[in-house]
Amino acid sequence: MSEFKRADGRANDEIRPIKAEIHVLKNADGSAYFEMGNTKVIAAVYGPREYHPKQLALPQESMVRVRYHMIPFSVKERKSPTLSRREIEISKVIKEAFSGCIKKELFPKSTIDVYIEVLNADGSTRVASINAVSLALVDAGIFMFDLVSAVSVGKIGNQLIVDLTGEEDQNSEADMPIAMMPSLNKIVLLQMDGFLTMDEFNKLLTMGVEAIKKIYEKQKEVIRGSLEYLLKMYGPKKI
Amino acid sequence: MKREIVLPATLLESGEDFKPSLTTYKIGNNVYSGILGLYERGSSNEVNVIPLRGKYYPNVGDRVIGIVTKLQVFSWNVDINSFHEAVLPFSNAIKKGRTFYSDLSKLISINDVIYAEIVSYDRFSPPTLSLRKKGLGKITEGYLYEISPGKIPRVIGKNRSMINMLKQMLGIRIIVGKNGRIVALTQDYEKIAILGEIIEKIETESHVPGLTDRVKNLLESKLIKTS
Repeated sequence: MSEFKRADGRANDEIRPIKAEIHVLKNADGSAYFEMGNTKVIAAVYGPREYHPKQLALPQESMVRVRYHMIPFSVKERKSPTLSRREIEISKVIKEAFSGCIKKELFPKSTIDVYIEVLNADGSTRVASINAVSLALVDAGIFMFDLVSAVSVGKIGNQLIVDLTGEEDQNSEADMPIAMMPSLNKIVLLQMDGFLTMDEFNKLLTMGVEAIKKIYEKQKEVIRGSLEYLLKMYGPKKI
Repeated sequence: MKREIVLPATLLESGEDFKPSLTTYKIGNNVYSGILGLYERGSSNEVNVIPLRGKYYPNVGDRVIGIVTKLQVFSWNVDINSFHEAVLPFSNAIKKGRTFYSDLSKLISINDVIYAEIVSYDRFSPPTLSLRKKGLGKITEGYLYEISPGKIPRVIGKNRSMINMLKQMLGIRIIVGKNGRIVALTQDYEKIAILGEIIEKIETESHVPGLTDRVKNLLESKLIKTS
């Protein structure tokens, strides 16, 4: 066990250094930047705003629309800027993760639009996106039951590791992104790719939950640290 | 009383008597916050968090400052800083018994700022505005400030103490809309700048007690400098 070492020298249950900022875009109602190691993501939230065409809006609750997109220079070889099958799928799972934690009944007939741009991809982009969106939603002042924090866990050889990089992701036998609302102890996203025994799965889940709690604290710290921004007003406008 | 800053899922109160409001939710006996905001302990049984960010939630009876965005055949669409666009029907914009034959835009046109009251809002129809009360109508001059709607009660103050003080000391007319918009009816640049600073102070320090006194001191020092 002691022979194994990860490429960047991290311990098995160690997450990459996190950097985050809130309220980075002025035009959006809420926005955030989130960085885990070399994975860099920006998220913008618009709304709740009116849904067009109006006859398709839901009468009881608000819609949540998510667009996850990797910009062409985010990976080593140029990526086509059109939404790929993978991006559409990730958009869908992120949307489903957030549908459960936003109180949608408060804003009937409206929509909450979430745009995610991956600036630099180095593994775990979907969990970094979820972390960024959760901060952006707080910035937009939208009712959420809890912040959502996410991390990916996986298995290389017989080693169980937390927060996979791109390289580790390619060599892994299994990887599993987890997103949850830590205070309420509820999982909102759990996907798995590869093979794991039940025992390994349980171990990975507990490791993931531990890591998520660390990320959650970091997110709260970021919000508390940027209160000054959130309190600022806009200058007067002549009528 | 101290106001603390709370994040989503912060435990606010626990007990059977506490009721959740628009900004909080209840699981079992515990009431949690749903948004980033300010919370004051022990004010009432309904647990309410004052939001720091976010849009205006329309309430019937609120007086709001709106900006006209569109002309319809018999109504105007008005942006009230909410998640729905409000509607001002033609019949609510003119006095009873009056007739108006000309183009609607001669009365109120796009980008005009109006001070109106919300007369109806439910989940089947958009917020409906009315100008048919004293003091309501088109605002033709002045400067518009925009702040978070949750901070408006601080700008008004207890028994309107803060807003009355501002009006009296600056000697200008100020209109406050519940949707986070404030209009200063003046062309005096110095006073506009002072009011801007004051509003910013109220926005950033609304959670620290003794706000009215500090604002008064600031206002006095500013007014001495300019006079």
